[in-house]
Amino acid sequence: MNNKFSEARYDERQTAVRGRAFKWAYGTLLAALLLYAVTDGLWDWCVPFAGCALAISVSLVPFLFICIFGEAYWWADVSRTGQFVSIALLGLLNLGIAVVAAANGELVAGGELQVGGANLSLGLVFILVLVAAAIQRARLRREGEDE
Amino acid sequence: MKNLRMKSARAALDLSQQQLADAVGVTRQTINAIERGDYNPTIRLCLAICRALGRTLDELFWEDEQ
Repeated sequence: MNNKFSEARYDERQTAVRGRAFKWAYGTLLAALLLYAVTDGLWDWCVPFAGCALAISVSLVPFLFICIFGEAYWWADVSRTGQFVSIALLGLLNLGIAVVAAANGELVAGGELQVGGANLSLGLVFILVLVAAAIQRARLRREGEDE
Repeated sequence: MKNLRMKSARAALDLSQQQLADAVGVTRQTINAIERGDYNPTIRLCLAICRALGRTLDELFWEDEQ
Protein backbone atom coordinates (compact mmCIF):
# COMPACT_ATOMS: atom_id res chain seq x y z
CA MET A 1 0.00 0.00 0.00
CA ASN A 2 1.50 3.25 -1.02
CA ASN A 3 -0.92 6.06 -0.36
CA LYS A 4 -2.24 8.11 2.53
CA PHE A 5 -4.43 5.26 3.77
CA SER A 6 -1.38 3.10 4.43
CA GLU A 7 -0.66 5.08 7.62
CA ALA A 8 -3.44 3.14 9.31
CA ARG A 9 -2.71 -0.46 10.14
CA TYR A 10 -6.40 -1.39 10.10
CA ASP A 11 -8.74 0.01 7.50
CA GLU A 12 -12.02 1.69 8.45
CA ARG A 13 -14.17 -1.45 8.14
CA GLN A 14 -11.70 -3.40 10.25
CA THR A 15 -11.72 -0.65 12.88
CA ALA A 16 -15.52 -0.83 13.03
CA VAL A 17 -15.44 -4.61 13.35
CA ARG A 18 -12.82 -4.41 16.09
CA GLY A 19 -14.94 -1.84 17.94
CA ARG A 20 -17.88 -4.27 17.92
CA ALA A 21 -15.55 -7.06 19.05
CA PHE A 22 -14.22 -4.95 21.95
CA LYS A 23 -17.78 -4.17 23.01
CA TRP A 24 -18.67 -7.88 23.17
CA ALA A 25 -15.40 -8.72 24.91
CA TYR A 26 -15.98 -6.02 27.54
CA GLY A 27 -19.51 -7.24 28.27
CA THR A 28 -18.33 -10.84 28.44
CA LEU A 29 -15.45 -9.91 30.75
CA LEU A 30 -17.82 -8.13 33.16
CA ALA A 31 -20.24 -11.07 33.15
CA ALA A 32 -17.43 -13.62 33.60
CA LEU A 33 -15.84 -11.68 36.47
CA LEU A 34 -19.21 -11.31 38.16
CA LEU A 35 -19.91 -15.03 37.74
CA TYR A 36 -16.47 -15.86 39.12
CA ALA A 37 -16.93 -13.51 42.11
CA VAL A 38 -20.36 -14.92 42.97
CA THR A 39 -19.45 -18.59 42.58
CA ASP A 40 -16.10 -18.22 44.33
CA GLY A 41 -17.93 -16.50 47.16
CA LEU A 42 -20.23 -19.51 47.51
CA TRP A 43 -17.44 -22.06 47.46
CA ASP A 44 -13.70 -21.63 46.91
CA TRP A 45 -13.14 -23.34 43.59
CA CYS A 46 -10.40 -21.18 42.10
CA VAL A 47 -7.50 -18.97 43.20
CA PRO A 48 -7.99 -15.28 42.21
CA PHE A 49 -5.21 -15.22 39.60
CA ALA A 50 -6.61 -18.25 37.79
CA GLY A 51 -10.15 -16.87 38.13
CA CYS A 52 -9.18 -13.59 36.49
CA ALA A 53 -7.25 -15.44 33.77
CA LEU A 54 -10.30 -17.63 33.13
CA ALA A 55 -12.55 -14.55 32.85
CA ILE A 56 -10.09 -12.88 30.47
CA SER A 57 -9.84 -16.06 28.40
CA VAL A 58 -13.62 -16.33 28.15
CA SER A 59 -13.91 -12.67 27.13
CA LEU A 60 -11.25 -13.16 24.45
CA VAL A 61 -13.42 -15.75 22.70
CA PRO A 62 -16.09 -13.35 21.29
CA PHE A 63 -13.38 -10.78 20.53
CA LEU A 64 -11.30 -13.26 18.57
CA PHE A 65 -14.23 -14.82 16.74
CA ILE A 66 -15.67 -11.46 15.66
CA CYS A 67 -12.24 -10.17 14.61
CA ILE A 68 -11.09 -13.29 12.82
CA PHE A 69 -14.33 -14.03 10.97
CA GLY A 70 -14.82 -10.31 10.28
CA GLU A 71 -11.31 -10.33 8.75
CA ALA A 72 -10.16 -7.65 11.18
CA TYR A 73 -7.67 -9.56 13.31
CA TRP A 74 -4.64 -9.02 11.11
CA TRP A 75 -4.04 -5.91 9.10
CA ALA A 76 -3.72 -6.20 5.36
CA ASP A 77 -0.03 -6.60 4.69
CA VAL A 78 1.11 -8.61 7.69
CA SER A 79 2.64 -12.05 7.18
CA ARG A 80 0.29 -14.48 8.87
CA THR A 81 2.38 -17.63 8.69
CA GLY A 82 4.88 -16.40 11.26
CA GLN A 83 2.05 -15.37 13.57
CA PHE A 84 0.32 -18.73 13.17
CA VAL A 85 3.54 -20.43 14.30
CA SER A 86 3.89 -18.04 17.27
CA ILE A 87 0.27 -18.62 18.34
CA ALA A 88 0.68 -22.40 18.02
CA LEU A 89 3.87 -22.31 20.12
CA LEU A 90 2.23 -20.12 22.79
CA GLY A 91 -0.79 -22.43 22.89
CA LEU A 92 1.30 -25.57 23.16
CA LEU A 93 3.61 -23.99 25.75
CA ASN A 94 0.70 -22.96 27.97
CA LEU A 95 -1.03 -26.32 27.59
CA GLY A 96 2.28 -28.05 28.31
CA ILE A 97 2.72 -26.08 31.55
CA ALA A 98 -0.85 -26.97 32.53
CA VAL A 99 -0.31 -30.66 31.77
CA VAL A 100 2.92 -30.70 33.81
CA ALA A 101 1.10 -29.01 36.69
CA ALA A 102 -1.70 -31.58 36.44
CA ALA A 103 0.81 -34.44 36.34
CA ASN A 104 2.45 -33.09 39.51
CA GLY A 105 -0.96 -32.74 41.15
CA GLU A 106 -0.59 -28.95 41.28
CA LEU A 107 -3.43 -28.00 38.94
CA VAL A 108 -6.07 -28.51 41.61
CA ALA A 109 -5.18 -28.37 45.29
CA GLY A 110 -7.73 -28.72 48.06
CA GLY A 111 -10.55 -28.53 45.55
CA GLU A 112 -9.27 -25.20 44.25
CA LEU A 113 -8.03 -24.55 40.73
CA GLN A 114 -4.48 -23.25 41.03
CA VAL A 115 -2.37 -20.90 38.88
CA GLY A 116 -1.95 -23.69 36.29
CA GLY A 117 -5.60 -23.07 35.42
CA ALA A 118 -4.52 -19.76 33.89
CA ASN A 119 -2.11 -21.59 31.59
CA LEU A 120 -4.81 -24.10 30.70
CA SER A 121 -7.37 -21.44 29.77
CA LEU A 122 -4.88 -19.28 27.86
CA GLY A 123 -3.52 -22.34 26.04
CA LEU A 124 -7.01 -23.31 24.97
CA VAL A 125 -7.69 -19.77 23.73
CA PHE A 126 -4.49 -19.75 21.65
CA ILE A 127 -5.44 -23.10 20.09
CA LEU A 128 -8.95 -21.76 19.45
CA VAL A 129 -7.44 -18.74 17.65
CA LEU A 130 -5.39 -21.08 15.52
CA VAL A 131 -8.39 -23.21 14.56
CA ALA A 132 -10.57 -20.15 13.82
CA ALA A 133 -7.77 -18.56 11.78
CA ALA A 134 -7.29 -21.76 9.77
CA ILE A 135 -11.03 -21.97 9.03
CA GLN A 136 -11.10 -18.30 8.00
CA ARG A 137 -8.05 -18.77 5.79
CA ALA A 138 -9.76 -21.66 4.01
CA ARG A 139 -12.92 -19.57 3.62
CA LEU A 140 -10.95 -16.67 2.14
CA ARG A 141 -9.19 -18.97 -0.32
CA ARG A 142 -12.59 -20.29 -1.50
CA GLU A 143 -13.97 -16.74 -1.69
CA GLY A 144 -10.91 -15.59 -3.64
CA GLU A 145 -11.38 -18.38 -6.15
CA ASP A 146 -15.02 -17.37 -6.60
CA GLU A 147 -14.27 -13.70 -7.30
CA MET B 1 -28.03 -3.18 -1.23
CA LYS B 2 -25.38 -4.50 -3.60
CA ASN B 3 -23.20 -1.92 -5.30
CA LEU B 4 -23.20 -3.33 -8.81
CA ARG B 5 -22.16 0.00 -10.32
CA MET B 6 -18.90 -0.09 -8.41
CA LYS B 7 -18.34 -3.70 -9.37
CA SER B 8 -18.94 -3.02 -13.06
CA ALA B 9 -16.73 0.10 -12.95
CA ARG B 10 -13.96 -1.99 -11.45
CA ALA B 11 -14.47 -4.75 -14.00
CA ALA B 12 -14.44 -2.17 -16.82
CA LEU B 13 -10.92 -1.22 -15.78
CA ASP B 14 -10.03 -4.92 -15.51
CA LEU B 15 -9.10 -4.49 -11.87
CA SER B 16 -9.39 -7.27 -9.32
CA GLN B 17 -10.78 -6.54 -5.87
CA GLN B 18 -7.25 -6.89 -4.52
CA GLN B 19 -5.84 -4.37 -7.00
CA LEU B 20 -8.53 -1.83 -6.14
CA ALA B 21 -8.01 -2.51 -2.44
CA ASP B 22 -4.28 -1.89 -2.80
CA ALA B 23 -4.95 1.31 -4.75
CA VAL B 24 -7.16 2.78 -2.03
CA GLY B 25 -5.36 1.24 0.95
CA VAL B 26 -7.91 -1.15 2.37
CA THR B 27 -8.22 -4.93 2.53
CA ARG B 28 -9.78 -6.95 -0.28
CA GLN B 29 -12.50 -8.00 2.14
CA THR B 30 -13.50 -4.35 2.59
CA ILE B 31 -13.94 -3.88 -1.17
CA ASN B 32 -15.86 -7.14 -1.27
CA ALA B 33 -18.10 -6.00 1.61
CA ILE B 34 -18.83 -2.67 -0.13
CA GLU B 35 -19.73 -4.40 -3.39
CA ARG B 36 -21.96 -6.86 -1.55
CA GLY B 37 -23.62 -3.99 0.32
CA ASP B 38 -22.50 -5.31 3.69
CA TYR B 39 -20.49 -2.21 4.57
CA ASN B 40 -21.19 1.49 4.06
CA PRO B 41 -17.85 3.22 3.43
CA THR B 42 -17.02 6.66 4.77
CA ILE B 43 -17.01 9.59 2.35
CA ARG B 44 -13.22 9.54 2.48
CA LEU B 45 -13.05 5.96 1.21
CA CYS B 46 -15.82 6.64 -1.34
CA LEU B 47 -13.73 9.47 -2.76
CA ALA B 48 -10.62 7.29 -2.88
CA ILE B 49 -12.55 4.58 -4.74
CA CYS B 50 -14.01 7.15 -7.15
CA ARG B 51 -10.54 8.51 -7.90
CA ALA B 52 -9.14 5.02 -8.40
CA LEU B 53 -11.96 4.06 -10.76
CA GLY B 54 -12.14 7.45 -12.52
CA ARG B 55 -15.82 7.92 -11.69
CA THR B 56 -17.83 10.45 -9.70
CA LEU B 57 -19.56 9.90 -6.37
CA ASP B 58 -22.93 10.14 -8.11
CA GLU B 59 -22.01 7.47 -10.61
CA LEU B 60 -20.87 4.96 -8.02
CA PHE B 61 -22.67 5.71 -4.78
CA TRP B 62 -25.77 7.84 -5.31
CA GLU B 63 -28.97 5.91 -4.79
CA ASP B 64 -32.26 7.16 -6.20
CA GLU B 65 -35.12 7.17 -3.70
CA GLN B 66 -37.27 4.88 -5.86
